[in-house]
This record gives sequence, structure tokens and C-alpha cells, in this order.
Amino acid sequence: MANLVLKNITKKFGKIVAVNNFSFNVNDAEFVTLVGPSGCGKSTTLNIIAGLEDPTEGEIYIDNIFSNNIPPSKRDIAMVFQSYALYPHMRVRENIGFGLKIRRFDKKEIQKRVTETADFLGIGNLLDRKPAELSGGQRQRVALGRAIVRKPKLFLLDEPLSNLDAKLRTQMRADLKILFSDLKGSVVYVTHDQLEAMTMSDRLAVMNDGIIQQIGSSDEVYDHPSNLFVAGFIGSPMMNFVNVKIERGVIYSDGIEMALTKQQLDKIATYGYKKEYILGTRPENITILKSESKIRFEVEVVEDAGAEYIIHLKNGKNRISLVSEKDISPKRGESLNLQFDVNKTHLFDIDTKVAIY
Amino acid sequence: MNISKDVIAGNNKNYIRFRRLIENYGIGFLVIIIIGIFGILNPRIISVGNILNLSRQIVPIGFIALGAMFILIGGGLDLSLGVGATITGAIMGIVFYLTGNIFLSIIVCIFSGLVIGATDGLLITKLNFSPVIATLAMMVILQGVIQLILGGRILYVDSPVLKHISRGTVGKIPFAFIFLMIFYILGYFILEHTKYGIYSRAIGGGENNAKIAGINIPLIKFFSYIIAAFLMCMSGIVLVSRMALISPAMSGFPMLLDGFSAAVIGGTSVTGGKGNVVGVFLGVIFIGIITNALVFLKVPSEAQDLYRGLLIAFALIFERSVSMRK
Repeated sequence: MANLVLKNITKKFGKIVAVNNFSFNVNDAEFVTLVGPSGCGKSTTLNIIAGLEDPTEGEIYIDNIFSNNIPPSKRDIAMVFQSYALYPHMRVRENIGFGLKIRRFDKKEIQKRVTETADFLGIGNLLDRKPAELSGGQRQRVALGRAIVRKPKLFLLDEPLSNLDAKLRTQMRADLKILFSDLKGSVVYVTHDQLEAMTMSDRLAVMNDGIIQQIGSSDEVYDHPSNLFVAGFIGSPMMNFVNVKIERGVIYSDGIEMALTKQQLDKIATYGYKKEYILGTRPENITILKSESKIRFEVEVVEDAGAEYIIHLKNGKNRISLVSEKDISPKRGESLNLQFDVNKTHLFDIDTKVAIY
Repeated sequence: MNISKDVIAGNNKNYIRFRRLIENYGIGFLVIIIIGIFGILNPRIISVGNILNLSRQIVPIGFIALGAMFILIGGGLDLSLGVGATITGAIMGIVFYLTGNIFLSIIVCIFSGLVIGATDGLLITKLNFSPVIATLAMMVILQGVIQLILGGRILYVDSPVLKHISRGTVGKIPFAFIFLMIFYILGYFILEHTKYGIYSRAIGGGENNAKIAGINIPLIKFFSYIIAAFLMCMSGIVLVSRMALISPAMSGFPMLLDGFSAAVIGGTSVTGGKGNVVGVFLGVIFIGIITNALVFLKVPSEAQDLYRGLLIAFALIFERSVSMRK
């Protein structure tokens, strides 16, 4: 396995900047995910690492070797595509062994490695099938088999689970995590699904408009988002945002009056005072009080999510949602007294959208 | 690794065997059924004489279909094959008209075809033109060239060699059909047993994957256009030898449609990666027999295209429904 370093990678398609001054690294045996909405440049970045696209600017180092001019086949990487891209006319055995065959491996060695890989992935009984004779999950495993059989330095996975149904996706998430942990493989994984990114990665890089918004562990990104985009993109249901004013250490907005902590006020003072801010609160950090409170909202709709309720509320121009146990039964129009966990709130600059705390 | 119990679809072995049977031989069944139906409607359609005649008729389309298969399998497209066949045939006729030397005419014909194929190939692989745009432009240009060269004239081509190609037989079997068969056998060998064939399929199956695997994609694609162009020349030679004339009315476009239809009916995937020579041959027979039978069944000429179109559409739907590439 190997490390990967990207230095100031920029990719332009005409006037469109798909990837903008992108720098990051993947350590040996690390699982790093590029996550962001469609068109954020994550797949382009992956293609640049693979050598399928050339960067307009910047440097790529794979295993400390400058790799910009090395063709894809010589980079010793393996890629798994969203569509799996299995060869339809080949049986599973040939699909998995194809990369080795092209690299002129000995026939016996190919057979040995293919069998080992298929057994490892639990598809040893499917070697004589053709891709069309497999289920989605099985095809996915064949695509993975084709990648791991070569024992490459680096694995690149481009939305490999997005063609699977929700149930299978959850299973495969866990399987992939176990697989790459067993292989001790360095992985760059691309997805638009923040849950996939959060659950599978050692670190994730959140991207938007071709720019890395934040790199960190799942906890870091979730608990300390660097800006409004990351705060809104990571987490489901998404973080609530309301425009607020701060006067004498107290936050005011429609339906909200909440005192901030000294630490938070210090951070605001250090950052510099603004007329207005954006307050962010995750739905699970809002609780319903039985007693009177200075945060009051009216129930708009209650979603039954099975294990919990997701309650949507509004007051004036503010709309928020919260996650609640099912021991209450709020009615539409009912007024609820709420409490925000002040230590878990986030404050953003209304102009730059940068996190103040 | 502990495998999750994911939903294992299609694990029934009998079902898979049945699907494979249908996929591999479905077009064969269709050809047998259609021959049976036409035979009942008019027994002369399945007489030895007509079958031998049919084997002669299908040759030009047979070459185009084989060329189309090579292109499609590699994920490409060549719309200039039909017109290319007529223009290379016309070039052969003109050179023969001017020199009286049939061998020189055939060499010039093949050379001009290879130039057309190489131009298409270079436009697509080196200059990154879309295959549709490059070969469509080529088709229109070639059509214009035919008009320009002939200027409304009809040239008669009368050569014993061409007569032998069009009317000669080996035993009772038309020479042209044997000529076609030789190329189908060669095509089978190239597709199934050479690196080119394996790589071309891999490119059609997934270009990025092929790139990572280290396949020289431009070279393989270029070679596909060259092979198709060569087969296009063979089609042109047979076509002109059969008609014994060249005329500005020869458009080649219906031949392109028939050739591509035959390739696709025979199981060649339009998105690349899939196809086989035997299937394409059966597709050619299917196209040939419906064309032939509609004449025998005295379908009015103005309605023949409609019926042919409907039958081809039916065959394409049939192929799609039995194909496992869904």
C-alpha cells in the first residue's frame, strides 16, 4: 500500500473550474472519502488521481513518486466505478483476472489469485457466471474483486454503492469497511451520500464548487463544521439555521431567546461583532420542555420515522426541525417549549458563512 | 471476508441455463421460425434454388454487418460504411473503365477504402471527434464525391473477374457466399482469439477500465475502423460486380441500415462490449430472408419497406428482450 499526496490541483474545462487548488493527502492504509453534492468536482479529482484526466495545474504523488506524467496503467491503482463496468461477455473468473492477463501474469498465478480473491469476497461459487446472471450486490463484489486481485498501491472507488438499493447499500457499507480494513488498503472513496462518508471513512474531505470545504474525521466535521455549507451538508436531518441578533450576550430571533456561554461570547468578541449572524442547531440537540421556556415554536408537521419523530416547527420567519422520542404526541398547531443545547450550537458569519464557533 | 446475505437474484441454475440458451441461440430460433412461416406461406421461398439465390443476395450486407460489429463492439460507430461501400465500388468501376485492369481496380478500391477508414479512425482517436459527427460528415462527403465523379452518368463495368465474383459458383454454392464465409471465419478468429479482439471488447465494455488496465485505446479503435473499412470495400466490390454498373443513384444508405440492423439483431450491443460473429451472420440471414420473401409473397413494392421495417423492429425487440445485458 502507499500514500497519496495532491498539491494544489486545479482542473479547468474551458472557463469552468471543476477543481480549484485542491490539496490533500491519504496516508498509508487510510480510508479517505471525498464527499459533496453532484458537480462539486469529487469524481474529477478521482479521475485526476487515476490519470484518466490531466490536471490543469498541480502535482500528484503516489507512493512519493511524482505521477503527473505516469499513464493510468502504470500508476498501480485500481478503480471501482459506479456502473461497475464489468465486461458483459466475460465470466466472473475472466472479469476478475482480466487486469492480470493484460499484465502478462502467469496463467497459474492468475487462477490462484482469482480463486483467492473470489473466496475472500464470498463469490467463489459464482466464478462461471456472466455479469448479467448476477444480482447487484454480486456484481459489486466482482467489481471489487477485479480491483483487489491486483494488490494495487491505491484503491479509487467512485460512488460504488449508489446503484444498490437502500438495504443492500447499508450492508455493503459495513462489508467495504471490513474489506479494506482487512486489506490494509489506502482508499480514496467518492460519494455524494454524507452518511456513507461519515460511517466508512477515517477522514473525509467535504467538497463544494471544486473547493475543499473541510477535511477531518467524521466527528470533527460533524461537531465542528468549518462553515455553513459543511454544517448543512453533513448530518441528517440537516442542521437548523436561523438568522439571529446578539445583544448583551443573548441571542434573539423569532421564537428564540437564549443566553450564550462565556466561551462563545469570547469567540464572538475575538472574531468581531456583526449586526446579524446565522445560528445553527442540530435537530437532535433540541429538546421539548414541559415547563415554560424562552424558545417557543409551533408544530407544523410530525414525521414518524419509525424509531423517532421528526417534528417540523415554525415561529415567524424561522423554521426548524427536531428529533424526538415517541413518548409524546404533538399535534399540528400546538405550541412547544424548547431548549437548545447551547454548547452544541454553532454560529456563522452571515456574510462569509464561516463558522465563528 | 464475511459476506452479507444480500439478495441473491437469479441463482436458479435451470433459469440461468435457459437464459443462456435463449441468449446464445435466440436469433437462430427466430430465423428458423421466420423461415418456417414464409415456407408455409409460399414453399418456393424455401426451395434450394431460392436459398442459393438468397445466399448470393446477402453478401454485400453481410460484409457491412461484420464491419459494423467490429466497430460497435469497441464502443464506436461508423455511419459511412454503406456509402463507403458504394463509393469504393464506384472507384473500382471507374478505374476499370479507365484502365481495363481489374486487379489494379480492386487494389485502388481497397486503398481508397482504407483511406476512408483511416480518416474516420484518426478523426475519432486523435482529434477526439464524436464517432457520429466524424462518420456522418464522411458519409455526406462521400455521397457528394459519388455525384461529382459520375456527374449523372451510369458506367457499365463488364469484367470476367467481377462476373465470376457475382455469378460464379463452387459446386452449386455461389462464389460470393463462400467469399463472405471466409471473412466471417477470419472475423471469428480475430474477435475471439487475438489480442485485438479481446482488447476491443474490453474497451467497449468500459473505456476507463481499459485505460487503467493499460490497453492502447486509440490504436485498437483505429484498427477497428480499418477492419470495417476493408470489409466495406469487399461489400463494394461484390455490389458492383453484381450490378455490373455504377450509378449516381447508388446511395448505400439502405445497406448501412440493413447492415447495422443485422449486427444488432445478431446480439451486438450498440453500447459496446458485446457481440459475436455467428449471431451477426444469423442477423444477416434474417434481413436477407425477409427482403427476399416479401418479393415472393407479392407484397406491393411501395409497402415492402413498411413490412421490412416492422419485421426488423420486431426482431430488435426480440433481441432486446432475450438479451441479458439489461
